[in-house]
Amino acid sequence: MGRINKILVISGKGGTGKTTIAASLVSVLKKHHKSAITVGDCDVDAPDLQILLKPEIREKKTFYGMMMPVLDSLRCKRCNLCGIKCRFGAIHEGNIDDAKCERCGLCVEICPEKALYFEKKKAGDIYICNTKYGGFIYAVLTPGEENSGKLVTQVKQIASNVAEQNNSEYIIYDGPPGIGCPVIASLSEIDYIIIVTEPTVSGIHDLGRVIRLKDNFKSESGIIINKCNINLDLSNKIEKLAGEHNIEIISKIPYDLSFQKYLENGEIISERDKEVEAIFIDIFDKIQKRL
Amino acid sequence: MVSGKGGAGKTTVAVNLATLAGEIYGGKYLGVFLYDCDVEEPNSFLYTKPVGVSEEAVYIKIPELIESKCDYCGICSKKCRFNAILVSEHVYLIFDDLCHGCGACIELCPRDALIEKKHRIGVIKQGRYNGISLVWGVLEVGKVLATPIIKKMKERMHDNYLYFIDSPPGLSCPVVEVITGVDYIVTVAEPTPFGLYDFKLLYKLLSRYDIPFGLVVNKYTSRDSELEIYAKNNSIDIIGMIKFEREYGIALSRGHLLWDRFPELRDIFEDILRTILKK
Repeated sequence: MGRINKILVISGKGGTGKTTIAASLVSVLKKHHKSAITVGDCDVDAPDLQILLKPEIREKKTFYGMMMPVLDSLRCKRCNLCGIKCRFGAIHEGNIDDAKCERCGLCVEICPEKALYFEKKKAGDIYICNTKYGGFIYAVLTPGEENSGKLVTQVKQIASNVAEQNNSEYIIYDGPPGIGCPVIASLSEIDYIIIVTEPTVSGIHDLGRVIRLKDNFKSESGIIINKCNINLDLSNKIEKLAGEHNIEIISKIPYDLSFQKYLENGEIISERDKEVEAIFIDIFDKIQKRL
Repeated sequence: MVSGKGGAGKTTVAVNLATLAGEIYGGKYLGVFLYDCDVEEPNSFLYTKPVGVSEEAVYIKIPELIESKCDYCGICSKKCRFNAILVSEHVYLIFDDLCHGCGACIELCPRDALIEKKHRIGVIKQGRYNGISLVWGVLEVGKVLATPIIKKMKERMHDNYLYFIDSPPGLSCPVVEVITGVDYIVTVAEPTPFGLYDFKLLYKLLSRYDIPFGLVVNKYTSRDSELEIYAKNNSIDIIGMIKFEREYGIALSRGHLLWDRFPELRDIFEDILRTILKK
């Protein structure tokens, strides 16, 4: 049983191309390296990779978020100790405001009548699938729920198990946008972080923050400048920034209007465009050198 | 402005609507504000380059141990639902960055060995640009809690002012915090399979609230996309349609506003403003 190499794609700024790049990488790995791979989508709020990988769902699991407090109104004496102590304004005389509740459990613990108890609450679904590229795990958090970090951790755990069962050499994770807890949860135990950025003022600003975040983790990393031809000045600025932080630029991908058409058709760009395919073969070579 | 999907154009729409509103309505409302609640990756200030910037730190209250009172019973650790406290033998660790500031440990400690201390998680900045006020939150890198900053930002809001609020991507609790209590929601989506899929998830979220909303279809290359059809079938108002143009992308890459460079976009944004204000 060989080592499983885990690659994560993040960006900071949303819409830079994480999912499309992850899909092309998956496709090229499968086609050119004949590697056994497993794929995971860590963007649990708005997962999109399944649109490109076209999975066949094998198993669906329920994701339970943190336990919710529930009131046994027969026991409640309306003393409102819960309302007084709750720091989030989420409960009053036993009536819980679901949106404000942080599920800390303080109200349950302090109720003198033991009128509050914990209950499991469904907060999403996890899908364990097969695709022509390999095993694929993605999840959908129920819109409005918390605990995206916990769900990301579960997706990764299942992906690890599937990868072991299938003797996968690689797990490719499509990451979420931002730098908050689902991204932090994605970053644990990763061998190589691909940071996707774009040569725009927003892209560069967010890149700076993502670099600071990923520096907390002991992983190799590389930057892909996506849509590099929209602004050559800023593309150069990114190269300078990367140099200052000792991060390799593993590719500069130009944007072409034809890509928009492929995306609108739900197609993986490396499978429709030979130049893009060559770009991803090169990307993988660079990653492999660091693994 | 919300979208679920990242990169759909929330910030572009928010920044352009707010600055245009400042230009047109600056006199009518006491103040026009642009609130950037994408505290993980705020970008609005890049397009407006505000001046006179002031800063306010945002703190949550986390526990601090009075060692002499602690007998390592571990109740705090057991009751902490965020795994932010580790107690064993004579080891006591509080993981500041995991703490949600709920105060349960402090409340439940049988020895009163825990007290509150302030823990900085970010800042709220404020500045002015051409007649509008820009307020933006910045979460410190490595901190996990965006919501307390957003809550603090919303506490500054008053009646009789006009607020354009840029939301983070995603559909989880920071977005819920932003949407709560607003008067109108502008959803922004791209007419691609990704945009449609994420819009359907967003629609599920919005149907829980009684807040009127409309859709801006952004970066379209052809008409009658599945997104438009879905909107029409669900009686969702399409309040604006912005074409995919390379020039727009290039201008945005440089940090420029769009309505003052492209007259056709000024018309589109003005229409959106009129629709929103009518509602």
